[in-house]
Amino acid sequence: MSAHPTRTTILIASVVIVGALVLVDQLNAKGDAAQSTPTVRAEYEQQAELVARMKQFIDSAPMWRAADDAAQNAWNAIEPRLIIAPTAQLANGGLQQRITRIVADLGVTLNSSSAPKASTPVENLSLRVIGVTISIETSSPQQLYSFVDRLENMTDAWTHIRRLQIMGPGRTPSAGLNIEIELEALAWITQGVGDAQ
Amino acid sequence: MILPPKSFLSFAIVDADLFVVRVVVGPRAPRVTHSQVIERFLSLSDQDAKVALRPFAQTSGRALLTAPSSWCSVRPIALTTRDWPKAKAEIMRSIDRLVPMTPDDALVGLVNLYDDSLTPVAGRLIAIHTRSLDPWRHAIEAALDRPIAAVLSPHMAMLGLGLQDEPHTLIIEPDPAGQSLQHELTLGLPTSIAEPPDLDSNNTQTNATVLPGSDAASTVTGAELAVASALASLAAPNAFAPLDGRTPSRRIEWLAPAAALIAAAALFIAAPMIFHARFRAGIERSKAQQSALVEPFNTVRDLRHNAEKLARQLNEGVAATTASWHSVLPALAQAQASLPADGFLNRLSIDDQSVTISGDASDTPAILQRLEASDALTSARRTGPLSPSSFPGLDHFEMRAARTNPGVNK
Repeated sequence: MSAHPTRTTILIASVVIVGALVLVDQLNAKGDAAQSTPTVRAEYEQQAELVARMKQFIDSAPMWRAADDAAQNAWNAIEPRLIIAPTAQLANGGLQQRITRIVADLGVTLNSSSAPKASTPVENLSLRVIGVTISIETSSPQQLYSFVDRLENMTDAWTHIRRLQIMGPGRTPSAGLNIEIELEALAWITQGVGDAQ
Repeated sequence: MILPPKSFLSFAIVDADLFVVRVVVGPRAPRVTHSQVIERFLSLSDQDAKVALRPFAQTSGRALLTAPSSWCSVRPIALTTRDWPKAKAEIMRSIDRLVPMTPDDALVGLVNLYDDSLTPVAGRLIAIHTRSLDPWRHAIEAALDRPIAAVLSPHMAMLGLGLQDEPHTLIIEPDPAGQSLQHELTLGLPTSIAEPPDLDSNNTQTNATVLPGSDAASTVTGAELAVASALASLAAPNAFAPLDGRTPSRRIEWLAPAAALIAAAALFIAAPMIFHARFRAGIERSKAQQSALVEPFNTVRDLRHNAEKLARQLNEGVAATTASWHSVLPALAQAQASLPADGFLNRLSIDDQSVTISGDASDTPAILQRLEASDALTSARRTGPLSPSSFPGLDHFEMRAARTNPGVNK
């Protein structure tokens, strides 16, 4: 036999041996991959997935920017009608000042003003619902209507009359109307919560 | 397939002419990249010879020279190429007893003879006079400015004619004197050399090829002989020992496959490490990417946090809180307007759900009807029995109506 067939035989045998070794190695590799212990491949895939998710999140920036702009615009429209103060007590004082101005403007007699109240409608937000109960006396229903209208439509406060009670006038209209109003307003507290705008 | 590709510059002397070919043997079939015939080469001046061989001067690879068969003396010998390296020196010392040449004027080579199983069993000694070759050799080497690596006889070159697929081939060596010789090849390997023609043979299945020097149709040209000379050591390795120089070492032929095998084994052994290292490198690259993404990621995260916080303030805070905030003015005005002119209002109370009124009036059903008819109130009803008022003609009443909140939803 010449050298060529011998060499060819040896080379083919070598290739077959190497191929068999590679096959065994591949089977072992599959076995390793099936084990529960995390492999370097799993670590790589986790890391790659993390980067892919970060990129995907970064790619969503225009959407979040648009959402932020829309929310900010909506908030900017609301913010002037919030009574902004460091504490709920000071916000309540601000509400009473606004009431006092309206009382003075309309010539209504303010008989009393009860202790202020405040509640938190949503946890972890600086938004408060502050309230005050006032007792007034008006000379006519028209004056009452004007007073209620001014209370409900303040440009610098978002208010709500929770309860209104009229006593009288009975058979003596000239005696006037005694009215008790429980008024609520939205306030934004800038101290303590840390969510101030 | 030969890797890396090998180049040969092969010369064949036919009569007074020199045939030159450049052969490249690579992964595919051998290619002749350049071929030329230089007529009456020895009559050229040194300068003309240089000019004639200039196209080949830059060619790399082995330079081979094939002597004409008419220069060759052939003798049988009980040697094969396996024993040739050890025996050559002794044969050269006693060459004058084998052929009519002196040791200092002889170049000697060997061609194996094979039996039917293609096993080398003997050989044919081929010898030529140095003095015949030297003028050609020196002229070529001077023109090329490089040495001839090996000198072959046509008996050696014919092994590269590409007859390895032919079961039996007859090679005719013409003789100007009229006494032709014949050589026989089986699957491209010689089984007889320099035998007289078998005139009785009538084997039509035998292919006959004629070496240069004949006018027959199947005569090999000088260029073809030069190409065959270049390929002989590849087509029939170890089947001959050239007249001068040597054939490429078998060890070198084994070098590429052995290196490939070692590389494959090394790759196999290193595969787990490479596998691991590649993933480790990938993890490092990925971490570097992650580091580069942290800043834009934080920017978008802050953007999202701010948007979500504002949305929560707006939706869960303001919108949810004020959803039930409606103006009391429509309910107040319509409750007061429901009283008849002769009636008196004692008390009116409004909260988010209802309006309660009490007073004295003559036509209390009409009050109920007016309350019900108003768009700010509904479900009007008495909450206590009618009782006579202290005012003549009037009844004391107490009624309640639910708010429909048709007013402006602020």
